[in-house]
Amino acid sequence: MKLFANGCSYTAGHGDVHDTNGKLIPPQDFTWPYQMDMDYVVNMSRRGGSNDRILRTTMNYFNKNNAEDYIAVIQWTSPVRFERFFPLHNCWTEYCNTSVMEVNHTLKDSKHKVGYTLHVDDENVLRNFFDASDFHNDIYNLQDTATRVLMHAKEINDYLIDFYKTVIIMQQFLESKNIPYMFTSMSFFNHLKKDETYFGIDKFEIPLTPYEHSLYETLNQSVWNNDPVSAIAKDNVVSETNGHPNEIGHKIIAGSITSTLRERGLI
Amino acid sequence: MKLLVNGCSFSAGSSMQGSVPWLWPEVISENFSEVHNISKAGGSNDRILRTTMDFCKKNMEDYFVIIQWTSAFRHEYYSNQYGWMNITCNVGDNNLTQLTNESNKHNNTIEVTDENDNIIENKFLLDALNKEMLYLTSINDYNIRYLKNVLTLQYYLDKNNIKYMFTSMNEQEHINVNLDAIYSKPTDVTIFEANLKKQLNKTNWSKQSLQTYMVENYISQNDRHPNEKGNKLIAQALFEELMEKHG
Repeated sequence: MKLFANGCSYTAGHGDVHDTNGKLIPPQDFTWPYQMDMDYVVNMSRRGGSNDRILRTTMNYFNKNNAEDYIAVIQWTSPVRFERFFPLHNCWTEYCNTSVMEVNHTLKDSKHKVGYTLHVDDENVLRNFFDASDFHNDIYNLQDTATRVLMHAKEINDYLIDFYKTVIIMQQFLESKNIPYMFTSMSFFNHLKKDETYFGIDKFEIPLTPYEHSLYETLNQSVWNNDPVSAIAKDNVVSETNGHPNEIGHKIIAGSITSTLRERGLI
Repeated sequence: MKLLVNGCSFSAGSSMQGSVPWLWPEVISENFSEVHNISKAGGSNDRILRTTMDFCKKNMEDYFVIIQWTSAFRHEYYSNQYGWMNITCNVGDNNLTQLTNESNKHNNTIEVTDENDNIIENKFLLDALNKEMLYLTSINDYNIRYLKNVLTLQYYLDKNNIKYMFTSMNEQEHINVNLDAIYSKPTDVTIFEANLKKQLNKTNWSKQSLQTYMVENYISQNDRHPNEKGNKLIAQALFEELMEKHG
């Protein structure tokens, strides 16, 4: 059986997004998808990637390739990340929260002027992007705008609403293709487990609106595993300041996901 | 059977004409035991999705749902201070496909209101939203947001076994007619948008948009909403299609 995995750095492996030439660094081979003893592995994860990117690239892969004999494991990431299309350079731009972004209760409390870093999805486009004469201006405008929107225009609720829609559409897509699947996530903040709400490492504490409850109830809770990958890896992290799973952490995650898939008769 | 209608001013009536008894949901009501029209003039597709889900959750009776999707250039954000904010991005015609281009930005304006249609004038909020429109959001992003709303509601209604018909204000948002009409050339559609479109259940859409059904029967040159005759034509066309599909 073939494994299709998609997620962020918790599935792609920690480290830089681009090398010194601006080329995107592919997922590392010690990550959990490669430790699951599957016949064939496609790992489309990207460091700093958003849930928008996960949906887009998963749909793209299964509309281009035969979905037969695949199982999909999707590791959802932080809802505050997002993706936009940038027509000027015909590319997708990824907006990833920076390590200094501190949000609590309401995003309006964010104290940092640059809450986002910007990644560009296609390596060839990236070079065009960097070569453009107005590159620095563009980067500044885009990051600054994303941060201003986060600080002054949107609440955490808005990011969660968009996340739930993205998950619902992924459900719909994978079911329409008859692809068996399991969902997990980076952290407890957006990890779904029936009748439980977690407030975890992300420090987000918000009252949900009735709308988010309605979207939440539309999600298929039974396709989620019990714990997010950060909780499965426990203390097996890169360092005290880098919470990504190390090689042992990835092996533990692989074991946990394999076990859950077997219990559910999916592999 | 009861009917739920949700949409924008094409279903709620334009704010210029005020309250009238001949809107198409009223005309079509003689065929239903009850009609709930929760449309709102100037409302967004985000609002349509949110309020439809809210209505269906609270009213589990035997409802048929007609959704009239509206302009992709409106959306809503939640605010702890203002509640649900309705945001209208007036994007200039010359800047539709390349919003990140510096040219012609003076044609773009933004309007923000709360749920009671009070204008919000918070400087930081308006500045952030204006910049989001100018630098961050391409026409593809507006379209993706729209398609995500349609797919989410499609999934919700199917999952809850609620019968429905989707239609739209005009051809630009109509899946069966020409959703790509807002682009200057077909190649501007990204693969992602094409993939999202593939997931739409076209059989649950009306054949044409309301603007097509009403023909030239609008209120005035300054108010292009359907007049009494236009509303009758819309009601007639939608009901005929409902009979064809659902009996």
